[in-house]
Amino acid sequence: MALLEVNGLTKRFRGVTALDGVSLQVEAGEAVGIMGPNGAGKTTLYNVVSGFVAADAGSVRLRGEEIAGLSPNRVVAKGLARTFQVPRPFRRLSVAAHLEVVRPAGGAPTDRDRTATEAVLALVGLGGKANEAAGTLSQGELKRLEVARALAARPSLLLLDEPFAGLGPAEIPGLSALLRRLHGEGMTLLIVEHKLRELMALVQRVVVLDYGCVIAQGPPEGVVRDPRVLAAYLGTT
Amino acid sequence: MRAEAGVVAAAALLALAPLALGNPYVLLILILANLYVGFAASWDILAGYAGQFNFGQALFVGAGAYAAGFLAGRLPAVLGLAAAALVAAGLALLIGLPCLRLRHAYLSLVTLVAPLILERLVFTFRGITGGEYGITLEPFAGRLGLFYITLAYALGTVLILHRLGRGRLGLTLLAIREDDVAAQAAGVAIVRYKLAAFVLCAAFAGVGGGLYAHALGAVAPVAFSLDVSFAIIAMGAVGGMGTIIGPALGAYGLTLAGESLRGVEHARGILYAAILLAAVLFLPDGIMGALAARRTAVQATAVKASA
Repeated sequence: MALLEVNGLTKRFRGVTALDGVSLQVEAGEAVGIMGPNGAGKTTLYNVVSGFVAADAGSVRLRGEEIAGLSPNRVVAKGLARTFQVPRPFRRLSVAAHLEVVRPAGGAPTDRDRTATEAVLALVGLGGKANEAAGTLSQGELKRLEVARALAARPSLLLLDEPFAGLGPAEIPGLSALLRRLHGEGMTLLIVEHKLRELMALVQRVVVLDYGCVIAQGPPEGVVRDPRVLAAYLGTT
Repeated sequence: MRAEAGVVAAAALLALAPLALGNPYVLLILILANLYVGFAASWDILAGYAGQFNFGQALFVGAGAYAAGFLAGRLPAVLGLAAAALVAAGLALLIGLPCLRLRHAYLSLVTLVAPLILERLVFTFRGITGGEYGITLEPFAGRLGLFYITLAYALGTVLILHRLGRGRLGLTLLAIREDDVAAQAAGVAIVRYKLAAFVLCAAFAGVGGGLYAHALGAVAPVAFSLDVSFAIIAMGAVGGMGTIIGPALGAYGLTLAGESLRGVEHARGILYAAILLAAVLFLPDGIMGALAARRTAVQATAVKASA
């Protein structure tokens, strides 16, 4: 049984078919890339899988359990967390406070919680900024905070939406190393990304979407040479 | 906790006020100021923390006033006040459950309209509510007694809500206020938390409404008026939203300022509008914002606990 199973997912917005019977599977421990030109349906796919948008048809199963139709916070409770393409920090809250918001248990924070928060912050390289307001962080730091916040939910599957977007050459290696380390420690990753080099360094398999359909799937080297994929990106007929 | 100590000190000082200003009229003004502290502080938990702007706080005040007013003479005052809290909280659930899933602005519109609906209902069920004549009741305590009871109400409301605001509930509500989509993605059940804020706001305002009825010895449809709601908003905005203490300060300030304009009743609306405008232009974070030395981040509760 795959960790994530998406079957025949369809979503229409008025006249536009954003997802047209999309099916894909992600096994536990895999790192899978999602590619496609703008408007291909990548973000809609994430929005449906994470519970922000209801699909018109199809199913989403996490460890065999149907999660389509659950509200976003219930999906997180089931073990699936996502980041946003443009970081959505809680600007006035401190970095550490972001993680505390996620903490599932009730009651006063314990020493264990504090240690866990420090560990996650150290992992993403934000340890020194624990008490800083998120609004003061750089773009790269915000991206890492996005990952930290998602990690605080202790997910089995992490959906990353263009994690490298907006990052300069100085910031990319740090984030790449972090994601590689997470994957190495067993985290299952789904990564939407346009930056081919960074994506290929991270994933074993790529799924390509175009106009809401899966048009190619396979190891990255083969997929980027696939004529259908080239046609989708370059628009050649 | 410095801020809370300050609040207790202020309350202690106020407790001595009757010794210097025993005049019953002044006492009534102070009673009203105490009540507005409760109304504004409870409003802040919803508007300042959860970020859900509430244009109709008078709904909960009025509901509490009518509940306590109706039960006065039939039940002991304590039960009447408990009923006031329950009725107001019940209204919050009644409105919140269907409407809290609405996007921000639409729920704000509902809060604007709800008091008007209740005001209509008051006229419809005039057998119970006395219609436009309202209800008169025998206050359960004299003016001095009511002064101390409302002072306790104000102090209790501010301390409890401030404590909650600094804890897990407050932090989560602030996260929802900053970005509710991100909060959902972080696993927060935003509807449940907004509902909690709504009910808390209503319950505390409802108790105050019940005390309001006893303080005036009467309840009338004017309890649901926009004037009351907008005065509370002005107090919250001027004092500083999201602090509990700010709106409490705003409540005292604006009640006393309003009273000093007694001679020109109709100027009161203009006064509130002018103050609100000035606050928005010059003190966007209210008095509390101006007092804060610099912008600090809202800390995790683990950090605050050691502060």
